[in-house]
Amino acid sequence: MPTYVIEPHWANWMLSLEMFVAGLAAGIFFFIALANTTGRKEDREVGAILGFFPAPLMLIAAILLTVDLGEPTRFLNLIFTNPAAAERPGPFFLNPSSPMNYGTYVILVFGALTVIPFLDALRHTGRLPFGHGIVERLAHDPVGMFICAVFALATGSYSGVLLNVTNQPVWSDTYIQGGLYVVFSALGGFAAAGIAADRMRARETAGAVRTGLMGITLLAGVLVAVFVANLVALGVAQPLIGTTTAFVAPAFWIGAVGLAILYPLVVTTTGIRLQLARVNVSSLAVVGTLALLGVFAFRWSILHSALAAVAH
Amino acid sequence: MTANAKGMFVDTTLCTGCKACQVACKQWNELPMEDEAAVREHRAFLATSYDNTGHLSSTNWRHVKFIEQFSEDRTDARWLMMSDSCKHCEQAGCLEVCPTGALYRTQFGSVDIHQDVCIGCRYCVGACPFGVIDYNGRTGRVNKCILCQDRMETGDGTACAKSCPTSSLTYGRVEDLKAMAAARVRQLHAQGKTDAYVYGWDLGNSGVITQGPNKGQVVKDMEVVGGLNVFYLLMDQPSVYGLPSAPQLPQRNMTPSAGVALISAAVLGVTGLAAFRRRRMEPAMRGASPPQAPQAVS
Ligand code: SF4
Repeated sequence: MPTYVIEPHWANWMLSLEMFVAGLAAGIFFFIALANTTGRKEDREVGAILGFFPAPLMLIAAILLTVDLGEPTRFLNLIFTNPAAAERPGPFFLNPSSPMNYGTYVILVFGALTVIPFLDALRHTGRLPFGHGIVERLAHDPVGMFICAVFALATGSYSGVLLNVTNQPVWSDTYIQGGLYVVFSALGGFAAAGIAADRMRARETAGAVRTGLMGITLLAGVLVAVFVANLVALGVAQPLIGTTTAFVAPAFWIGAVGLAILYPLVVTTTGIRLQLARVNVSSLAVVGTLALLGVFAFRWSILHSALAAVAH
Repeated sequence: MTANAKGMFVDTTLCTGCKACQVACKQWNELPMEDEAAVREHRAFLATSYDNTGHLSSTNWRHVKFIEQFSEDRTDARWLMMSDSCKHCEQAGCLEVCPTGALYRTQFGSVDIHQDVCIGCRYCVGACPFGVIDYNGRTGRVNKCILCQDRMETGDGTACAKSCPTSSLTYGRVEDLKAMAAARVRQLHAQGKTDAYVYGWDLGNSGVITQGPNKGQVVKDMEVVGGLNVFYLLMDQPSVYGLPSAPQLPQRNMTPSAGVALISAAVLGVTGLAAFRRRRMEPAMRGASPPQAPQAVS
């Protein structure tokens, strides 16, 4: 069967960055929701500082998207039925068979919710002039945070489901992209939390992050194994396994598998202490930074795999 | 299917590759040449065969394909030609994923684009199983054949079909075109050309390929993605013409993908909770805070 593929423009670096940034915001918010509702005092302190990140990250994602697509006012067509599309009922637009439509609403709600941890971070650092009580209640209410976590995870999985629902090689060859994307988002969130816990010398939180990273990397490893096995069984794994087009295979194996999954998994399960030129490379700060690089490599390699499939 | 749907029947056996349809399409729709990048990268005009554009694009809504087949000793050869465009699918992947309603089904059953509603997200580009729809870098929107909507409204039919000197392209009611296609396949079979079959609708014909590398293979009429309002009479396997043998709707993945995402999210939730409840302490962290007893959530 002939393969048709999107223009290279579609898979440019900006889109990888957009997905990475929005996924990271989702992952961090997921961690904050857990820390604020089930964590100890120290976890909540780390969560409060991390609260500074999701809102600006979502803002960066919105700016990147605007630069990528141009004409931001046209985005309103995603939400409100344009009068020119008279065949569709209004006033809000919803195409039930388009994941992008659901995703738009999910991201919109999630973007609004990121204001809560941001205000809580301001409150925590004494920079919020008013509304302390309500912000604290909102940021620590178990039901509210559960809803926030649901939106965070939905945002994390969105790009993966979007890629799955296409006719592009690798992207739509399996059902697993949505699962992979949400797990890599959470991985990014815990990696960022690891860096914060290390910098804040929050020992208790570091313990939770290590345990969390262990479980999440294990889950990511299982999903990646199923994903690759699935592609191999279908005979379409070449772009991810062997092509250097757009650095797809190196980014996937070294970045996504090596840095984001295997390294954190080994360090967290064995508790090994590795020293490299007097730097403790098994510290959560280093593990977290490398894992974030790996999460970006994952987005990059998956996004470019469709192009690599055709180049191959 | 839209009652009285209009479409086109493309009889590839009658195509001489003159490209009158390609020119008529360009002219009627005032389509410019491809952008500078395409010219620079030699994608705008191939000049490597009689196929001059090589593919459909945002400015080439119709493309005449030249398929050259040679025997191994190169003493025998044949050309297969096919005037290609958007198929105006009954179940259109592009339309089903469009998040703004820019792509819509017209009163004639064709798939058109509201240019002022399109946001240029390019989701439809990745969703079309035929690689038809294309992003236009000049306008920041997508383009494809719109079956000459303006001409259909005035009852003129498509510009390409009007200009075709051999009636390889016929415009009309899809139901009438199907009857025409069935009759044409029967006629070709009666002449010993058992290769002929219909791609787009199952009209009940089957035959055997008599020429080329796929000689001896069985071919059958095939209905794809709910039927194509622009459909084809082919003389070889679909892949020979660059057509997918089993095109699929992108929506096939929606529920399973969302399901896997949901299960993964649930596992993540449990993993996250477990991480905070059963944390494994880090090896001594210099200057770290002392361990604390669990506290109630504030
Ligand atoms: S061929 Fe592609 S662009 Fe045309 S209607 Fe079908 S899915 Fe849409």
